[in-house]
Amino acid sequence: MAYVVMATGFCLILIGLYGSLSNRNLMRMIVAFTVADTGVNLVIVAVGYMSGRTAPILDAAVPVAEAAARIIDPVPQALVLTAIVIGVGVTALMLAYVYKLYEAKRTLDIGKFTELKW
Amino acid sequence: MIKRFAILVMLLAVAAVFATLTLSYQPDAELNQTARYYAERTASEVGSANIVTAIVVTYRGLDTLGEVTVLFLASSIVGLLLARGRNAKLNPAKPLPASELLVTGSRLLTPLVMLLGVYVFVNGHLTPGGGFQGGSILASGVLLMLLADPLKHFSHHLISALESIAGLFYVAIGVLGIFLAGGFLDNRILPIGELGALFSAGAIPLIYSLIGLKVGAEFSSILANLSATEEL
Amino acid sequence: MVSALYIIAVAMAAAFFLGLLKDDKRGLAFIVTLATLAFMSWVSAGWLWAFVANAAQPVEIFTAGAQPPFAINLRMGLAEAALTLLINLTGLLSAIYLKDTLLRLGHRAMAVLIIATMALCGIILTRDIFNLFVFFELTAIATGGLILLADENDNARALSAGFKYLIVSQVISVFLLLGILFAYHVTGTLNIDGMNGTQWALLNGGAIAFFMMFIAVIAELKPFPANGWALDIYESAHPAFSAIFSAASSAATIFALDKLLLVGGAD
Repeated sequence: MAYVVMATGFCLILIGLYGSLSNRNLMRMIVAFTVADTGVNLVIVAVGYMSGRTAPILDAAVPVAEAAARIIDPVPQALVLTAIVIGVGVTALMLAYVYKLYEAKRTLDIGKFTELKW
Repeated sequence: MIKRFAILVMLLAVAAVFATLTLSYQPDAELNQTARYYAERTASEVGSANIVTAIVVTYRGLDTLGEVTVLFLASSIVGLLLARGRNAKLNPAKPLPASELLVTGSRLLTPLVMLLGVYVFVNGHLTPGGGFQGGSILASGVLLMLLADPLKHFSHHLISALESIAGLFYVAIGVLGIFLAGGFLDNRILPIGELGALFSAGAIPLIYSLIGLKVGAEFSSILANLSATEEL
Repeated sequence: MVSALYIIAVAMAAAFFLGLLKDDKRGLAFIVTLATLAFMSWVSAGWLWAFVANAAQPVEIFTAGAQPPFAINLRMGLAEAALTLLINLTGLLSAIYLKDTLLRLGHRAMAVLIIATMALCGIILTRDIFNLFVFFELTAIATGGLILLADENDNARALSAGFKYLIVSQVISVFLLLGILFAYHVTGTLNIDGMNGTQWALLNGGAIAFFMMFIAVIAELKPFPANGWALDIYESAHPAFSAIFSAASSAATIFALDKLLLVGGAD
């Protein structure tokens, strides 16, 4: 089970990286990054999974005494929470950049911004 | 053409690395030392039924503070940037009105969505969810309002006051942890209470509610600012 | 000496407080900014003095009332004191030099400057590898924000440079994050000192995990062959910000790389 999710995550990362590096339209680059971020989050969640175990919440199904034997690893879930939020923050910033770039040059084509070294 | 080929070759190398990682991956049979500590000690030390919440808010609270700051930065920058353009527009053209189904549906759904968001972040220490999840749900309610009425005006002063005050209280609670309990962001400044009750887990419900409001306010502000760029 | 945690806590509190101020009180906002950066420098200077003059020992700062592998800890040693002093002074002097620009841009830009300085200090002080990642991202966003805000006349060159910087830093963070997660899976801890001494080559996927993190942090350093990717922001951004990007952030990143080498085993 973990392998399926991990492989899917890696495929999404590859698709996202390809899209962001080869697209000329700024908005499409951002969408491709979102796909890559989703892929990374999937891989992170897949890392902690152990088969036959359940969610790390102590309630009637998982009494405190048996917790260590019944739950999956909670740490990757905590890490992915942070990773998702950081991804959203960066996406918002990139969108603001695209808006200003469009205002400056009236185009979304990255080839038109030719003042850069490379 | 060459550029595309070069990108493909590089991605092929990256794919090979990923394949090796996936094939050599062995899921653990038992929890490792960190996870075992959290599984065994959360109930007695932190008092939260949701172990992931205990990790996010207390054990790794410094990460969460950094993450909250990331959102604060993003929403401040977006707000500052797009506000410059907003003040210049005196008479925006009237946009196409939203369909009646959307307008009526949003009147029904928005209060329910907001209620769900508040429920999720208030119960963060008992059920799956928490401040970030609840805040996102709140912001999606705001998004629904924006879709139904694109000219809706949100008070940016209220939103930014809300996020700043919530942030200040969060840092203050963290510093209180140094004086009243074991360390920065220790949740034992309030009594731990009984596992599974609403008022338990010390300061966690308070912190998560503040985070939920803050995150909801920040996402709403980003959405409102981005939606105001439509006049271009 | 004041606990180094206050460098981070006071900076965040000041940034949130600046968000509360009304837009017309820019003079007050500027004074708050200078006071915060001065306080941060004073804390670092106090520790440096303690290490140099009084031969104090490095101090571990615990958070959340729990011990290191299970909670995040910071360390203040001689190197950390010197580097954080360098960064805080750079931030303070930049704020003074940028007085007119900051007054023109308003209180939010000052908050971004404070957070950029604090995040660089965080990279130096932390002993936890995921915390390192969070502070790296905070630096990237703050840098991108400073370029965007200080951009006058819609200078397309500065904007494109900043956008390119954000994109490359995102690609790097993908690899850094993957490396961190697999390193956690292999070693069972997220603490840098806890990972010290792991035999990476012997564990499944361990060598790859370490390699990924290593490459990501090296790329962040922007050394010679890769220096093209940040060259534009050095050239096109406001000069005072260039000081922060080039000097302060390189110092922080080299120290982060050194921590990572500690993880990999000094040999």
